[in-house]
Amino acid sequence: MAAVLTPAPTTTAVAARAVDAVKVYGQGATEVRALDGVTIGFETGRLTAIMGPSGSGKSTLLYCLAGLDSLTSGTAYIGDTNLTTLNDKSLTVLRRDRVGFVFQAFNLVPTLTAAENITLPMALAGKRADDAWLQTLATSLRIQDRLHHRPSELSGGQQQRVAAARAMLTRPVLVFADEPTGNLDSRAATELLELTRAAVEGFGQTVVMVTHDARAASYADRVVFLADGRIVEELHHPKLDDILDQLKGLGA
Amino acid sequence: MWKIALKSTLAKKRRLFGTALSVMIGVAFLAGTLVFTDTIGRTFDDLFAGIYDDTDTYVRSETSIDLGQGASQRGRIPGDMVATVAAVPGVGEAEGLVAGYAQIVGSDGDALGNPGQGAPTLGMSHISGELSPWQLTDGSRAPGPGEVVIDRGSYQKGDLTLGDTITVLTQTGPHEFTLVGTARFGSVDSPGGASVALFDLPTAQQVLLGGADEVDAVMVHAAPGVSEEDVTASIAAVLPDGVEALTGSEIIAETQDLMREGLSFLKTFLLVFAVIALVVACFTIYNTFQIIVTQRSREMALLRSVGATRRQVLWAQLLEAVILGVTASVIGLFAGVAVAGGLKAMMAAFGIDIPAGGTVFGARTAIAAMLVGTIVTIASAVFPSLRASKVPPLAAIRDIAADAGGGRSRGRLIQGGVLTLGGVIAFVAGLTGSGLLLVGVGALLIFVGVFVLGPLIARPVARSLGAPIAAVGGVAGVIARENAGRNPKRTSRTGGALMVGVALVVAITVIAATARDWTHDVFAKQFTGDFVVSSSALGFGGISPELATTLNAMPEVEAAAGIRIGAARDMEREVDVQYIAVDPATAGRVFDIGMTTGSLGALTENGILVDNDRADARGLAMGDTIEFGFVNGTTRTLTVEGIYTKDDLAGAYVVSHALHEQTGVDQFDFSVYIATTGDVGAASAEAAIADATAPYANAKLQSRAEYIDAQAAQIDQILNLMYGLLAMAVIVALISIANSISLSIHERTRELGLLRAVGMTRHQIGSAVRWEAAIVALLGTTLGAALGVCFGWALSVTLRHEGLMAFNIPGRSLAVIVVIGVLGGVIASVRPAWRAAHLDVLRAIATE
Ligand SMILES: Nc1ncnc2c1ncn2[C@@H]1O[C@H](COP(=O)(O)OP(=O)(O)O)[C@@H](O)[C@H]1O
Ligand SMILES: [Mg+2]
Repeated sequence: MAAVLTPAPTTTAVAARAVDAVKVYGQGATEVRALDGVTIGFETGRLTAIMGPSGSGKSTLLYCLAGLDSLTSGTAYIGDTNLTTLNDKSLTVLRRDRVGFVFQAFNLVPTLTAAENITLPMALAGKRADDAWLQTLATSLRIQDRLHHRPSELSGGQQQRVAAARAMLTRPVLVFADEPTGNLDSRAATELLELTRAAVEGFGQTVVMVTHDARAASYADRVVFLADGRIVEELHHPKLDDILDQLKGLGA
Repeated sequence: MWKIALKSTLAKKRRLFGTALSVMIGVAFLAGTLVFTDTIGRTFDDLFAGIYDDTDTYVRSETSIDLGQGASQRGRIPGDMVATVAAVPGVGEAEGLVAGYAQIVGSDGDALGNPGQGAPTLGMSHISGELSPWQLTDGSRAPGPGEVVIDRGSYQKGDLTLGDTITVLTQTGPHEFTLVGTARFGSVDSPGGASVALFDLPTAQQVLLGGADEVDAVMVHAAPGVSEEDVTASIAAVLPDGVEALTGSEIIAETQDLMREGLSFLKTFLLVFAVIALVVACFTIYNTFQIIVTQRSREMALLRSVGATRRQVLWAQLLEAVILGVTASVIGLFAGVAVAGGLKAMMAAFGIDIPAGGTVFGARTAIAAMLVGTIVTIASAVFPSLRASKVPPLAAIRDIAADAGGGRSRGRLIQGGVLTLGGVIAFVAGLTGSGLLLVGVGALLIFVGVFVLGPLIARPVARSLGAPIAAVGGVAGVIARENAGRNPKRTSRTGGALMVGVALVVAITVIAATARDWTHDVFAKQFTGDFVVSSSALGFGGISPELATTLNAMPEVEAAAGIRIGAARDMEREVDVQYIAVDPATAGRVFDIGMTTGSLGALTENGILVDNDRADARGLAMGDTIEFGFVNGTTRTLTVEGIYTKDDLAGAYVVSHALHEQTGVDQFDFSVYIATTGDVGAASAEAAIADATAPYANAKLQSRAEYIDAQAAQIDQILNLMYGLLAMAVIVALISIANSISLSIHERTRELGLLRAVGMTRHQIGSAVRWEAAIVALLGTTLGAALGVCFGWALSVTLRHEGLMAFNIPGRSLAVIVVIGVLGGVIASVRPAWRAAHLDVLRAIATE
């Protein structure tokens, strides 16, 4: 059924995909099927939103695709790389070089400045950051004058934008964001979403974003709905009302 | 509330383990010291009780001179006292006892035993019958003229065979005897590790005393039905002046007390190190509790907001300390038994072999260890607990980042400053007033003061110390540096424990280096000869004066000066003093002791040389007199014939051999200093001297340079022993680092998860943690080294008027200490680093 719901690959390439992804937590009576046979691909240069009720497996899907967690069965790919065959070291390097992250909160290392946080993956790889690209990202995310501040001196919105800049600095295959606006007030959330949308359009960045918020999802090219670890619906270029209707149907 | 406290303690078992470990080590050291010294005490108690088992009366000279450290020297009584005592009604058996230095030479030609550091090497007259403290083994018989019986221990160690002709070294030189038997002492092969050679009484008097018809004591066994009190009273009635009679019980009690006194020095010495380990443990516990309290402030605020009173929170926190203290003390107490074994092995490794029988585990040890361990833990936890109880309920709702402040406050500066200053005053006062306890208290206050001041400098210092690390360590280094600087209070508290350990290590290193230099200088300046024959004995036994006589008769030798040590009673001040005895004719030609007036070579039998310090203090000038009393009961009026510059090599007083020989004590040179004539080459002179020395198996021939180096090296032996004892404190300090890093990692779980998520490899995480530990350890060792140099300098200044004129900062040793400290820190962080690297990334970032 999941396969049916996934559109055949379009002309655009697939940045990441999951095939028959199953993730089971616990055993026996406490067993939870967080992912129950998910097959999905994410096209390059698109902003995809994943929605669904709490506990439906959104974060799990994201983490398994990003190489932060392993699948119980099925396969996950970043580009053409099969994640299930990689060891911890290779997964770490893959995350560092080819994937970007934005979490709901606590995205930044408190002892490092914004600039150091942004260039952290590069520094970890022992590479020099592309200064021009850093400036471009910082300017487009409107944090160019905050680069030498520490996280504690930044607002919540600024912190998330610094995290977004870090996520994009390595020109990753794709950026995963797990409820990036979850801790922001609506103005900061809007700003972040607009800037993210601009990055997708301006730099062709692929973004997969988990969100609760229908308004946030309305910025996406495509919205995928999960329930009980399965994909139950997806919408392309949806209007806010369509999303709200769909959510009502899922009882979220 | 109790339940909550208990639950929360148990939930944090893992984290508390490190804290408990530091208390455990401190307590184990304390208990180990007590067990060890109690065991030695019991061993000797049993030994003496066994030796005087059947003695009802012990007759001896009344005169004795205190040599310090529980040792004393007693005069002898005329040999006819044996017959006098035997004739007293009620006396069953009476035997004369002669005892002196005798060292048995093993089959390989080496002298057995090391009387300078271990148990004595005794020669005694053989006592038979009821009074005999020893039993001859099968195949043995009592020694006759020209024969010897030795203790079974030496027999085995020396690989000897009955019927052999063996060599025994005594006051009168090397002698050969036929070995006719071995003896055991109750259940042991050799009494308290001592070696014993038994001769018949005339032989003993001949070889041990040099022919004097004297005995050290008369041992008496009462006739059947006569009590020891009665027979002792009867004997006392017939004794001349200067001779006394003790009952068997009295002599047992006295020897046991003397042994205890000697033992108490060892005990105090070891306890000092146990206390140091406990002090470092205090710092560790304090730090751990501070961190735990900070991490729990939310939990406690929650308790407060649901109605727990301040007092309840305080008690919950203290309960944890009690549980921890009691548990750790119990474990430490039992670990102490193992430590006691370790201490014995360690002392033995440094040449101090103390016999210890079955382990004595006294109730006092248990009580002391439990009390100290528990009190130390609770006392260290009081401040953190008080802080815990002050957490406002609001902290549960607001995210109050307690403890993260920079710790920069005027209050801290004042408190720390006052403590440090007070410490310096106490330290200096203690040093100048010779109050060792005050020195300790002063040092402790200084440590606490610097500990309080630490956070003020921790951030900049950690940053600058971390700068090179950040440069070589890449991102891991940068992160480490930032982490070390992010919480100055914690960083400085963590390094603080190591600071204490390192400061003490450095202080003794500096003092030792200074003393070594001084030894070199003084010998180089004052000893003008070419060779030295030295023995390991100091205070008991030594080289027979025969050797010096032989050497002086040789054409290659210009002068061979035997140096003796003696003790006398300073009649005017009523204290016992030690002196050096020299042969003026020879000593003047091998020594230049820095005479300001008079000359060493002109010293007469009735003369004395005094050092300038003593002369000034007593207002003595040339021609003034001093009255000295000696163990044989004689008193001599000595004329000051010279004054020399104080330097400790010659001690406070110098007299002539001629005088020393009339004081009724055995004559031994502890070393013979030789100047050659230079008529023959140095090599052939050395060969000739070596030939003459060969029969004296307890003597070692060294060239001037070798001897001076060996003297300086003796300091290293003590230094190494102290290093070994301080190692405990350093280990406790390293536990503090392990603890603190591991608690910090717990606190930074999310951050670590984030780092892992954005691509930090396990290896990089691990190295960041290790680098951080290195920075913290570097902070502690640097501060400690600085303090240690100050302590060492202060000590050397005080010792300056004891003659110690040098001051030396041994740069290479300090560098080694710092490197070892830092490596220790890194090793301590290996486990926390591993755990940080193997953190479950998902769980870390999912943690709310
Ligand atoms: N580490 C875990 N152990 C056990 N169950 C888990 C774990 N992580 C997630 N789950 C369970 O898996 C399901 C999906 O979780 P998640 O992907 O976090 O949901 P969502 O992000 O959609 O709210 C939930 O039922 C959750 O309780
Ligand atoms: Mg989620």
